Amino acid sequence: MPGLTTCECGNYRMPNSAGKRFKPTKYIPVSTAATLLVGSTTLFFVFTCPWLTKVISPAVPLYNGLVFLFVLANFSMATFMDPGIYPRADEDEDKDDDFRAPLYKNVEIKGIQVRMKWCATCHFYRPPRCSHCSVCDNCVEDFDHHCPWVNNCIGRRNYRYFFLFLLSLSIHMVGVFSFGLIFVLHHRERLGALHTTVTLVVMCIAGLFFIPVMGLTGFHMVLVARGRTTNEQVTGKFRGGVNPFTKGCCGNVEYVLCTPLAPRYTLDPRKKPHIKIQPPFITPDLSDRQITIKISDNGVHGTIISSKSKSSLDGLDEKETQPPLPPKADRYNQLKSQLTSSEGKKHSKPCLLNHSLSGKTHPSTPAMYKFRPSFGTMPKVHYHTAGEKIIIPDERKTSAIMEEGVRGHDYRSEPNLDLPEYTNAPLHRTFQSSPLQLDSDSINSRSLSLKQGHRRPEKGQLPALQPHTVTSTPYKSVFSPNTLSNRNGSLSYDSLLNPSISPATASECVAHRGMPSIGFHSPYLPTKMCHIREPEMQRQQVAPTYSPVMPPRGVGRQSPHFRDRDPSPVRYDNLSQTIMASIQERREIEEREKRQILHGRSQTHIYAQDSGMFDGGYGIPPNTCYPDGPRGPSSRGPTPPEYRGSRDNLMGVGLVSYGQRTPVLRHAGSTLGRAPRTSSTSLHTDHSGSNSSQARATGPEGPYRSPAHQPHSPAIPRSPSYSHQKLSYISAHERTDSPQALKVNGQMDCHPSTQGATLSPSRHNNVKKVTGVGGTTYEISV
Amino acid sequence: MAETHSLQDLQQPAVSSKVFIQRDYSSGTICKFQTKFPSELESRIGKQPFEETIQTLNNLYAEAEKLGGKSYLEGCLACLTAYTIFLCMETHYEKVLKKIARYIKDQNEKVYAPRGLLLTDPIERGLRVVEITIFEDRSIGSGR
Repeated sequence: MPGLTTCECGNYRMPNSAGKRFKPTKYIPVSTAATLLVGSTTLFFVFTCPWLTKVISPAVPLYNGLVFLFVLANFSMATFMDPGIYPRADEDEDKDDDFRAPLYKNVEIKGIQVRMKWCATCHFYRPPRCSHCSVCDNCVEDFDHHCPWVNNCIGRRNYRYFFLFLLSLSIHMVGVFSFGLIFVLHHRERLGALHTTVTLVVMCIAGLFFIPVMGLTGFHMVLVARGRTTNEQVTGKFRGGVNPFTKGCCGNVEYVLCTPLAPRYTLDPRKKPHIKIQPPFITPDLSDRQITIKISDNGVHGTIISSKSKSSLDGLDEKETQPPLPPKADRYNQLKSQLTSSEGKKHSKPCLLNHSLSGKTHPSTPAMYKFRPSFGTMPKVHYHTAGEKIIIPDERKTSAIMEEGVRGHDYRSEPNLDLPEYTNAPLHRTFQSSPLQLDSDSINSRSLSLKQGHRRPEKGQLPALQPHTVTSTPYKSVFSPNTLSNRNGSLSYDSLLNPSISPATASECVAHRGMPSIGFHSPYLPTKMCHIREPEMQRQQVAPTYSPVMPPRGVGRQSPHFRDRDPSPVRYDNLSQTIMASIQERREIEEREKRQILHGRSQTHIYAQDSGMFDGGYGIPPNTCYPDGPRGPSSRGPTPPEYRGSRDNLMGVGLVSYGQRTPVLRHAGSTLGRAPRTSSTSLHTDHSGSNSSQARATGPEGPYRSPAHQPHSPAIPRSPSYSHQKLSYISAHERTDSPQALKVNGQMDCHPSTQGATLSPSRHNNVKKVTGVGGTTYEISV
Repeated sequence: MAETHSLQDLQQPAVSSKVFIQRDYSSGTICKFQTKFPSELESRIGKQPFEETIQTLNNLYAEAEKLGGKSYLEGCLACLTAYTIFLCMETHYEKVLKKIARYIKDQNEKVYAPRGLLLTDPIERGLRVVEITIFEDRSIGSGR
C-alpha cells in the first residue's frame, strides 16, 4: 500500500515538517519493528511453511498469510495515518483566546468537570482527551500515546488500527510460534539443519516478543473496555473519579472498532468557495417589539456584569452569557425611555432616534469585553439603520468613532447619574451647571448643522428633565462619579485648551491649595472656606475659558448657576458616605487583592511622575474624549447629550485642571492626589473598583472635588503632562476592566460595564493583560 | 490565514472581527457546537437563522459520527481489503463533511454573506470551532 502511505504521510505532517530536521534515530525503533516483523515472518514462510503445507494442510500458510497481511495492514495504518492532529489556531483566534489568560478552562462533560488546558504551541484550549505530543509537537485528538514502534502518535484516528495491530500481532505470534513448534518437534533429530535452525530462530523471536506484546495487548484490551486512553490511565486522570467518556464496556469496544473513521483535520489547503461579500449589508431590523421586551427584562441587570466576565473566560457557559446581555441594554433603554417620555412629547423625532439608537447600540457593549477589536466598528454597524443620515456625517467629522460609540452607551446611562448630584451636592452643582450650559450650547450649534435643529429645544427642557431622573434613580449618584471621570473631560478639555486664563492665577491657587488639599476631603470644615472662595474665583475664570466654544449667552447663564451651588461640598460627601459605606464593604474584600496590585503599579506611575497621578485619577478619559466630547451627544439621542455634556465639562474641568497643573506645582499636586486617596477610600471604594486603585480615591471624587480646583484648570495650558495623562489614563482603564468582573451585585448598574466598553481599540494591549487578571480573579472568586 | 488573504485579494471588505462558536462538550466528545447566540452578531443577524444553522450543523455531525449499519459495513469492508478500500472510497464521515461543506457554502451565500458575515467550515479548525467572520461595513461608516 505504497499509495496510502505517501498520501497519508505527506499531508498530516505538514504543520510541523517544515521546521523539523530529519532525525534518523527516530526511525530506529520503527524500522527494527518492521524488519523483525517482516523478516521473521518471511523466514517462517520460506523455511517452515512448505513442510507444514505438505504435512498438515495448505490452510496453514494461508491462515498465517492472512493474519500477517492483517498485521501489516494495521501496522501501516497505525504508522502512517494521521492520529487526529489538530491544526494550530490562527492568530485571530488566538487573540481572542489570549484574553482568557487562565491556563485552564473547565468544561462539563456529562456532568463531570473536565479541565481543558491551554496549549501554548497550538494556541487553543485542548479539547477534552486531547494532548500535545512532545515528539510530534502537535495536539492530537483523543491522544493515547506516542508509540516509537510505529513512530507515530496513537490518537483518535489510528487507535483502532493500533489496537487491531496489537491483537493481530499477538495472534500472529502465537500462530508462528505454535507452527514453528510443530515443525521443530517433527525435526528433533535434525536440529542442526538449516530449516530447523531458522524455525528455531523465528520461534525465539516470536517467543521473546510475545510477552511484551501480549502484555501490551492485554493492557489495551482493558483500556478499550473501560473507555480510557493510555494517557489518561498513566496520568491517573480518573483515579478516584468517574470517566465521563465511557460508554459502557460494549459501547467502548464498539466505539473503538466500529465508529466511522474520523476525518483528518490537517488537510492540504482545499479550494475554498469564494463568496462575494459586498458592503451594503442587511441588518436585522430591531422592531419596537424587541425593544420593549428588553425593557421588560430590565430587572435582571444584577447578573450582567458577572456573567459578562464569565463569558469571556469560558465561552462554554451558555446560561450565563446569553441572558445578561440584553438586560444591560435594557437599562439604557429604560433610562432612555424615561428621558424620552418626558421629552418625547415635544420632540417626537429625537425620541424615535433615541430608541432606535439604543436598540442598535446596546449589542456592542457586552461584546466589547471579549472582542476589543470590534469596538471601532460596532458603533457604525449599529447606528446605520436608524439614524443613518444623521449619524454618519457626524461620525465622519469626529473621526473618532469608537470613542463616540462607546461613550454613547455611557451617556445613555448617565442622565440618571448626573442629576442626582445636582440636588444632592450643591458644591457639585456649581460645576455641573456651568458645563451644562456650555454643553447644550455646543450641542445646539452642532445639531444645527447635523440634525437640523432637532436638538435645540432640548436645552430649554433640561431643567424639566432633571427632576424626573433624580427621583427615579437617586442612588445612582453614588456610582456616577467614575463613569463621569472616565469619559468626560473631553468636552472641557477642548475648551480648556484655549483658555485665556493666566498661568499666574493657576499657580497662585495651587500654592495655597497645596496645604488645604489634604484636609480637603476628609475634614471638610477647615477647607470649606477655601472651597467657597474658589468657585468665586472660578466664575471669573471659567467664563472666559468656555467662551470660545460657546456663544455668549452661555456665559450669561453660567454665572447664576454658579452662585446657587457654591456652598456645600460637605453635603455631598456625607451623602456619598452613607450610601457608599454599605456597598463598599461587600466589594472591598473582592477587590482588595486586585487593588493592591494595581495600586502598586499606579503608585509607581504617580509618584514617578506627579502629573500622571492626577491624570489617572481625574483625567482618565482626557485624551480619548477630548476630540469628540461635544459631538458624541449630538449623534445620540437628544436627552443624554445635555447631561453628559454637563458632565463632560465638569469632568473635564476637574481632570484637566489637575493634569495641567501638575507641571507647575509638583508638590501641590502630589499632596492633593494623596489626600483624596486616604480620606476617600473608605467612602468610594466602589468607584475605586471601577476606576483603579489610584483612581480609587481620585477617580470617583475627582469630579466632585474638582470644583474646588476648577479655577486653576483653565489657567493652565496644555502641558507636558499630557503624555503622562495617557499613561495613567490607560492604566486607570485597565483597572476599570477587571473590577467589572467582580461587580456582581445588582447594585451597580451599567456604568462599570459601559466603562469597559469605553475602552478603545488603541488600548488593547494594556487591556488584554488586565482582562486576564480580571479573568483569573473572577475564577478565584467563583 | 489563507482564507482572509484570498478574500482580501478579491477586494472584499476588511475583516472587522471574528466570532468563534465553541464546541459543546456537555454530551461527550461527539462533535457538537454551542447554539448560544453570540452577542457580536446581534447587529447582523437574527437569533433564529443563526441557531438554525448551528443546529443543522450539529445534526449533520451527529449523522457523520453515528454508528450505523453503513459505517459498520464500511469498516468491515476496509478490514477485509486491508484498508486499501480507503484509497478508492470516501468514508461515510467524509461524505457527510462534503455535505456540510455544501451546506455551509449555501448558508453563506443565502444568509451570511448578504449580512457581511462569513461562516468557515469547522473542519478547517479541526472541528473545534465554527468561525464566523464579521466584515466591516464600509458603506456605513468611517475611515477605520
